[in-house]
Amino acid sequence: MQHITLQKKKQHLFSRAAFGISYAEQEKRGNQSCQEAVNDLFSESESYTALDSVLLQQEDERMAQDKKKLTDAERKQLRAEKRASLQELNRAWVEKLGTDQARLRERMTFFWHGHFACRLEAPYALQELNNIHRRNALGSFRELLLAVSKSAAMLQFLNNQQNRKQHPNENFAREVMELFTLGRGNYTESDVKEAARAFTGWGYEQSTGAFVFREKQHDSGEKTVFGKTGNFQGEDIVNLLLEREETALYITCKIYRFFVNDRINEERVRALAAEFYKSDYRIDLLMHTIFSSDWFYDTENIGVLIKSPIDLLVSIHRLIPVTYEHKEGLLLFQRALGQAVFYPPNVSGWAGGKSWIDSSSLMFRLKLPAVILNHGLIEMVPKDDLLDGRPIQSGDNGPAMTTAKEPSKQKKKFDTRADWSALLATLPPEISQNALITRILVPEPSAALMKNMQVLTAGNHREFIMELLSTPEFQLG
Amino acid sequence: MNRRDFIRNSSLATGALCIPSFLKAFERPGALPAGNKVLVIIQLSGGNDGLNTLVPYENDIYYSNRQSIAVPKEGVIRLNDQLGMNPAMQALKGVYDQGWMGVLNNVGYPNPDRSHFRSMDIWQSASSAEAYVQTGWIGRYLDSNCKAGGKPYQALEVDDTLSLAMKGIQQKGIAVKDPAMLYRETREPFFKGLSDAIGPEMLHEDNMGYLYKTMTETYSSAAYIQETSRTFDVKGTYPDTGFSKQLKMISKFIQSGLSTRVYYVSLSGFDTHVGQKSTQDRLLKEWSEGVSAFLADLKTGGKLDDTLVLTFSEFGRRVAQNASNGTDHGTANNLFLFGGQLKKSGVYNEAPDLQDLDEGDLKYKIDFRNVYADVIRDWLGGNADEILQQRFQSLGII
Repeated sequence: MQHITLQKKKQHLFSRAAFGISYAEQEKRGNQSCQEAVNDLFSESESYTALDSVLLQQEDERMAQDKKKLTDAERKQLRAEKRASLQELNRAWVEKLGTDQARLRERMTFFWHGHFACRLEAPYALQELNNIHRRNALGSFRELLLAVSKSAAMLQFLNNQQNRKQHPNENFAREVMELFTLGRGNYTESDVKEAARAFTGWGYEQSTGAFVFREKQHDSGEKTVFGKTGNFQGEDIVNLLLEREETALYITCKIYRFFVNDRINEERVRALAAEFYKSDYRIDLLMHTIFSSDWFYDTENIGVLIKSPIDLLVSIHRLIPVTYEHKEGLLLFQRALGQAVFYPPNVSGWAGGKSWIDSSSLMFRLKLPAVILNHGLIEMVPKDDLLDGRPIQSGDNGPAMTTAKEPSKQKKKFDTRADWSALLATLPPEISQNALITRILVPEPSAALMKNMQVLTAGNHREFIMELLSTPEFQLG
Repeated sequence: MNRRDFIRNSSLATGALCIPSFLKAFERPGALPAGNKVLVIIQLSGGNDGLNTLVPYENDIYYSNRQSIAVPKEGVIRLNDQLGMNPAMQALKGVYDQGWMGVLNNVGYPNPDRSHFRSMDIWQSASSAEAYVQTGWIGRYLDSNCKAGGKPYQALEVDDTLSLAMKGIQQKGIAVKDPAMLYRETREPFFKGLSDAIGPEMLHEDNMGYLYKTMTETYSSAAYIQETSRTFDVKGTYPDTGFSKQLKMISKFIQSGLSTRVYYVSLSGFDTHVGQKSTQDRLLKEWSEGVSAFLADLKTGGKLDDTLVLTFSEFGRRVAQNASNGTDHGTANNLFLFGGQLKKSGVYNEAPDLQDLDEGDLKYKIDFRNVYADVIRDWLGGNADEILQQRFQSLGII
């Protein structure tokens, strides 16, 4: 069995609990134990700031206007403003992910963002939802679930505004059961239909997004869910969902796959889930247990997860600060990679793991660091998937099929400025090749990498690191 | 499952003698021999509402259940005395009249799942509703064909990411949106160097091995696809939509002689819970016009007889509309086949029975895997029983 150094273990911890760890910080933490590092991660996340890119006032004025009275031009203008606002929200959060000191909290927020996936053309509501994730990221899953379910964003996205006594709309109840709590196969169609009735009346106030219970729209009759009968309201359904141990298991499984290994260790996950359930769904305790366990630092878990596109981007940003010259640039990169925050493909979020990788996506990902950090020219056109809420129209799919490209225009959009000095200044001039490789990459380098790297000298640190970041090994964290 | 089946299945899983199809394809980049059949799968994502696609315009139950969103009888493009197309599908009228279109009604499966992800997985993996299968039917076709010593064909998806349908145990399809771009990417010196240095011991089962394996396969395929397809310019006219551009790309691949047997492309947005009419009409138009242009193009190029297009959606929608001028997830749906050599064109079976419903949902009459079986057996010449792990009687449609 391979001996894993303390350095490697901490590097692994920060790769999972944060978005990587700089050379300087690795040096600073020296011989600090993993347990101390874990404690540091939790304490630095105790205080945090909300995401506040979108102001309510902007939304409020627009919402207050009677939409029917708007002319077509005005409506178009409104939509354009919303799109711009959403794009700015995306940029603001990616920046936060790359710089915020409450790293563990941000990583957890990113996890919940994928778990409670929501896709809307309503930037303020999405921002509110994001802050709900952040506030509860390391708190109680019970409170998180309730707050998310009552958020304007989720209620709108899952059509619960249209869930009325006379014609229940089942979408909300179904997705809450299938995707947010129990998972597939742990409920019946009847449970969905009855729960939908319980959620009738749950809505939000148009101008502020505040939760509102509309008694007139609520079906107050008796419902039977999971074999229990009562005049259930929405809150009762949430309690019933959390009462079921399948919920603890489902959430724990997802967390294990995201933070430990995409191969589930059944016994371990069951034990973690049981504890999670017993603690009444305390997320912080679950995460603390995971990061403090010996098995977390086993070879089989180190450097084995395929980074999500956001993880890939942010791990680059945390290593070498990047400025995107064109305001659309960052979003274009995310689209090209197949993941943009606040734009999940659907309510099940992103599948993750090997699904990020196939022939074309791998090539793009390998080139990405050079493009971002080295002014490489990029050719890839991101997939158009109704990103802006607009239908697929002419021209939206970019120049992929036309022969007349506009290289200068495209290059401009992807133009970036990278600050290498931050990293290079911290490296000792005589650092060995092996030391540099092991500090930058988490997994053990392959034979192909070792054969293909240029020779490291005191004068070519930047070029050497550039090559390291362009290997398949850097795709793993 | 009897012992023979079990052996067949396990040998499919081990397929040790099968070299990845792309490497072989690169070594022997011969075009598909003339007469070799190509399958194009169009996936309508979101659950297309079949009742507003093929409208039962004489059925009162349809109209009474959809007070505000039913398609008016007058506008319908009649196919027979019971069913007519949504007027948004005008572009397919010519296609239908030429005998290039076949429709199967009430296609679904037992114990239908009304969740997008689950139902789409079921359709793509061709599994039963109770099973969780990690491979797709086209991927398993590639596996099976390779094992049987057939030519190592490719399956290609015009998209950025590869669908489950295209993933086998040993073989995978390849996702290519722009062959020139993919080729350029693989030829940059650092990456070429890495790729050349990959040894077989690096291609293990874990994620690292997976990355290197994908890299190797990509290199071979990129060269082959680019070198073959660049020589051909598509002459047909296509609408200026993203979907049509993808079909145009497929046409380019087919007509340039790529040894790809199966193509896959998706059109999404069909999950019409709210305000169905405008969204669905727009999408049906986009689909119809794209397919119509594609077929015309292939006809001109002499490839229509060797092409079969299958269009499906992961489920239909409920008979009654909801309170938001939309419909919720349902069950059975219609399925479309297009091609120059359909054995049975036109409407294949009876219209949906709106009286005999399953709690407001349509009951299926044809198992979708039965359709796949015919396609695999009669069009692709594959071992349908092995790929679907179940025997289906022929429907005689292909």
